[in-house]
Amino acid sequence: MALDNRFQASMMHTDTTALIHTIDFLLMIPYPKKSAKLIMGNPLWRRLSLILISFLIALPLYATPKQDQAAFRKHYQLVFPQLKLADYANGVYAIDEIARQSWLAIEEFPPYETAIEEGKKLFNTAFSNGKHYAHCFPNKGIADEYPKWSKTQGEVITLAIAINNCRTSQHEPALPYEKADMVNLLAYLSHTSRGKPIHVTIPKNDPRAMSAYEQGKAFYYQRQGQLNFSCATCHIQNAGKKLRSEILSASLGHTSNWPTYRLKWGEIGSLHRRFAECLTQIKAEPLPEQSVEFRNLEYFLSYMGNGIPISGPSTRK
Amino acid sequence: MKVNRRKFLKTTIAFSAAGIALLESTLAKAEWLAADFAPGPFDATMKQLLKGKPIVETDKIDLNIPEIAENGALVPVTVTSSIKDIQSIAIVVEQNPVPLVIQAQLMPELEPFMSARLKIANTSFVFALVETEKVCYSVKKKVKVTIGGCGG
Amino acid sequence: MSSIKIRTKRLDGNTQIRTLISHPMEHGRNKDKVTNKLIPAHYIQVLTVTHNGKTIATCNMGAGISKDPYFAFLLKGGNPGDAIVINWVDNLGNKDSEKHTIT
Repeated sequence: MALDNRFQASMMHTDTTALIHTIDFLLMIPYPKKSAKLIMGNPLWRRLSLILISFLIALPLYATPKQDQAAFRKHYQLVFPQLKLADYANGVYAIDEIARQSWLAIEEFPPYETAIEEGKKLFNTAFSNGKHYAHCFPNKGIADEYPKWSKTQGEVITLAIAINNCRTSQHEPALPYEKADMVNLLAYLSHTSRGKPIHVTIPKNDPRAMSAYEQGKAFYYQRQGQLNFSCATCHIQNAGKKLRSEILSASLGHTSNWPTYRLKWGEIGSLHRRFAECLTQIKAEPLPEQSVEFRNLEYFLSYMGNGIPISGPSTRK
Repeated sequence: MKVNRRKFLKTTIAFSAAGIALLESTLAKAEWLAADFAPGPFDATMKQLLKGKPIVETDKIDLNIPEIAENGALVPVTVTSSIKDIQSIAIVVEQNPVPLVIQAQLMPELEPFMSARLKIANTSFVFALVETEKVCYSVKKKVKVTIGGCGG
Repeated sequence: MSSIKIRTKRLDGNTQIRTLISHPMEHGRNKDKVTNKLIPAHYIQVLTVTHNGKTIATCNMGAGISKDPYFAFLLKGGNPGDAIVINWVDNLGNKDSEKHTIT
């Protein structure tokens, strides 16, 4: 809760300062001499007009997730008018034709197939008490519903967390998030959900869920690291543009294709591994997989991507 | 007829020796040719590979490879050709520490076709060599390998 | 479990043979990030493909082939029931083999 207030307070502070300058400028435009004289001369008027205009300009800051999602998508629609929502599941391959050809050649017999097979075997292996994962996950094709808000645990539950919750409830040790077993299970569960549209919800009966979403959103827009970039710097402002020789992908759909066999890693890895790598690349301190910040970020990004089909596991560079 | 034991033994040994020699030569063929895969400059590799065979550039080989490699660790390539009676398809990457990447001896049961995934260390010409009995046909394409946006 | 996966599919009267192999294809010039020691070379050197017992391809390769190698060949014709066998040997003397029947 303290973190919430600090986030919002700091956002408010910087925004209010900026707002005041904006308001001064706006007020000058229609009736420069008259309004300036009126407002600058009368302290009460000054305060009231500031409050009114701050409220109006600050309104987008308090937009609902639906409004956030609409604004997010509108931006990309303008940058990539040729793309349909489902195309974003393919990331940069929807916008980089040369890279797309390479990717399609690899998809002929993709290197993540081993991970799906291993994951399937793990999923079907009984725990010591004779039960199986199916006891916790009776339906196939569930990756599209994650991450979820858990009222009882008071935190965002990703599929990886849910897998370990299942294990501990059946008296099995939790799996380390970055090791092969967990990633292979995620590959299998992603594969059984392929094509299903992402469907993440923010329950209204627990204000903490909205708070987690807002924290994820704040993290996304927060500048960090020595390079002082936010996720938005590359993936909103510069999506489709080149960073050295690479074309930057859009954030829309970023959570749909995981886990991923990354050519750079020479192996399959998770979304949070990629988040950590991104932080390292902007010279910020990486966070561990399944940290609360990454889970909230995944919650925010998944919500932005609602409706985009699950395309994992996948190959990326 | 009385079997001359000495003659019998001699013939048997002679046949066995011939048999073993034949077997060894088959194994030798399947043996990895270390000399071909020696690290070193492109020219030396080509000389070692060609063994005096003339090399002819042709448009009868289709070397399907991306012009920009997303990641030099895995570059998909497909080589096809309309040349008849081919013996092998080889791929050589000029700037790689070991230029010869693969040499596939293909029997007549196979069409002139091969796909593989290569490592390309730096921006380089990639050569596809299609060998017939008398001539080595070649085609080349340049593949750019660049540093990614955030360092990879 | 076999390191070799084989798929075949009919293509204009021919049979495309595709294989994906799990193998590190380590060239020996990489350093272990933790120990800072060189990771020893470990790569497939020879791969063979047979069709109904007859060798149709012999591939000599080096570590310039990517990790988890993939190859595709095109068999003239090919009938359901035909046996395709793929073998490999690496520089450390390890081997593996896998059989696939064309459907």
